[in-house]
Amino acid sequence: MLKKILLSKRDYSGVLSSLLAIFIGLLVGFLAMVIVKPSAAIAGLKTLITGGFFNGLMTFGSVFFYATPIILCGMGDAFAFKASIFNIGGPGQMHMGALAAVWVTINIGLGPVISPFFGLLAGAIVGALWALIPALLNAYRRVNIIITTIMMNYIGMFLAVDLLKKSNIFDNTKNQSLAVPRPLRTPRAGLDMLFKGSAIDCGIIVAVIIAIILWFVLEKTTFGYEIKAVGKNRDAADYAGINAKRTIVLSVLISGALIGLGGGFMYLGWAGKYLIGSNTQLSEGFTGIAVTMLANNNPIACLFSGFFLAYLTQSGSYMQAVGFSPEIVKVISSVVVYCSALSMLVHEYLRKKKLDYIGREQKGDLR
Amino acid sequence: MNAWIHLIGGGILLVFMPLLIGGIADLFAERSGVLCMCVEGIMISGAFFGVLMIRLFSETMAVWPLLFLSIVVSMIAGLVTGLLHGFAAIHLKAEQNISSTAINTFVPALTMLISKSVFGTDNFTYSASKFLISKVPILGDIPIIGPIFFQGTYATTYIGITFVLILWFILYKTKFGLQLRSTGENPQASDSVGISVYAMRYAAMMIAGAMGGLAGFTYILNTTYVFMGSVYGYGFLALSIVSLGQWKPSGIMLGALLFGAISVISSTYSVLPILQNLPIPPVFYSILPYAITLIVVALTPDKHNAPAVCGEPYDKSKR
Repeated sequence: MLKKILLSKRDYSGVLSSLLAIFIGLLVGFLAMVIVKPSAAIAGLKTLITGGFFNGLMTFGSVFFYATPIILCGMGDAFAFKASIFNIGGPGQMHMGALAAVWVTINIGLGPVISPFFGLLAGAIVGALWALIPALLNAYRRVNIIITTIMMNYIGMFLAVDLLKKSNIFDNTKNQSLAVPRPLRTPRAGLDMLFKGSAIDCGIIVAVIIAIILWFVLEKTTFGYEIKAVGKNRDAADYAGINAKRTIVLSVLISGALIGLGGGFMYLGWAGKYLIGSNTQLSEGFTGIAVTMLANNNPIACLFSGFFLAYLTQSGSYMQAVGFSPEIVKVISSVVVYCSALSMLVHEYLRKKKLDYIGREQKGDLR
Repeated sequence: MNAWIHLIGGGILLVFMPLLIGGIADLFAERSGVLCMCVEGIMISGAFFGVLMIRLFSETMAVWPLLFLSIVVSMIAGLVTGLLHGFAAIHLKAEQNISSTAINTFVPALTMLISKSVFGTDNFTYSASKFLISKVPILGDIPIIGPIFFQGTYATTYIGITFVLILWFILYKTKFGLQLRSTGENPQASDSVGISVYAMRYAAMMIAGAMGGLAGFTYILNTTYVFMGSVYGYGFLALSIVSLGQWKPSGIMLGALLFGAISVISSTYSVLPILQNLPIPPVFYSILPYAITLIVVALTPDKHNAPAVCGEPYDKSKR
């Protein structure tokens, strides 16, 4: 087995370091539970692992619903990360996108399917627009995009809440957005027959299609090549005739659009999520970073890592019953991000092992 | 008149101090060559563990020992968080933006987890009023300076200023400071004359962590009475002040002053007669500090004063 991994042409260090990151993440999560409340730690870990099936297929179906926005967000982040642009403006882009999506869907009045379609489109456009300023500042003035996107997150949060409160989709008594009328919600494409009573909708199918498109763009087109070239070395790419500024702006805009779309799916769906009229950031925007880190910035792998983190989040919502805060999932996912720093180590370790192995084989020690 | 001077000048000071300390923290990290985007996370950890002490021991301990304990604990918490980033950035040669982001999301989640299990809620209140020095004898009576610096302040202000002066001296007037700055400009050259780049960077991250923790504690103590697992982006404001101030303490001081003034406008617009009657929606004032930061970082001139290798892990085999 070891020999197979070592000698194969494919590079397994990405997968191995992701598995290691998950393991360390769960370990730290467990340790945190032991420290906070030793008596319930085992029950907590059990809930964390089995919570996705709490109510059988119904809960499991809803995991797909919760996975959709964070997968889209993760793929959006991945797309910008490929160009070495660290877009962590997820919360702001998602918030503004979600607001636009809900507002358009309720107000456009084009009936089922078409209304949410335009709503989602509006979400994507607004999400992209919210990424525009950081993108331009980074491309033309090389301003660190972490600072600009974090500022846009705060501005977006304040603005989205303010706009929500002034709009006609605000429910004053509940301090949240109005419920999207049932016919105007995202179509379910018959998936709710499979998972009865769950919140599943067509979002997961859209996410799969987008993942394939993104993979195609990144691996098989000139634009994808340009993005990766800029990501490896911006100045060298510029020197080689790639318009690095244009590539950076486009990649961040696409990233913002995907994140905004994710926001749309989160609030146009069937899980009863509402935009809240108080100043809190949408933490799903940050979960997207963990999704893409775990997936090594690969859009297809984002599907699996997003699903995994959505499963944990769903389990996390039952953690209250055993006496833990759902924040434990955020602890785990941030440890996962931290551990993606280990990928370099794993890579180096495997390379060294491989060289050792080949060296010994040539000397004939293995006979 | 004195009341106005106190409101505005004192208000500026309340935000000025944490930004200055946070800026100095980041300055140390960046001067040694470590990109420290996690000042926010460090500040949150310092703020949390500091006010946790106040909340837990406010009945059993006397006022000044309690403040001392809180400050020490907040600095230790910040130091540990700083080392966490240092370990990834220095030893693991990680992408420093990523490990910073991990810390910025890890710390708030951890604080909420702890606060939920200890107090049952995500946030908790604490009373800081007993730490307030209503008036320093003699000095408080000086016109203008008195109401700003010596009336209604916290002891953390003076402790912070002392630290900033000491650290400025260390960074620019001692051998250690020179060596530390050299590792941020040309680590290979430093190594060749026998300076341990790793040791210097770890030292810088420890100082940055401890100062960041103090900054977070100062910020929370000065501006609010409830901890909600956040310092509201002020760690990032401190970062942008460092590049605005061209990696110099004097520049950082001016930047902190600017942002202090802006946040006073954003928090007191409703009682300022000039601003009260303007037809500007309140949301504008909430956004103001963040929007100005955006504009400032956009207009900051080129980074030729930045440490040369900031953000690059040190690799001995490279030249």
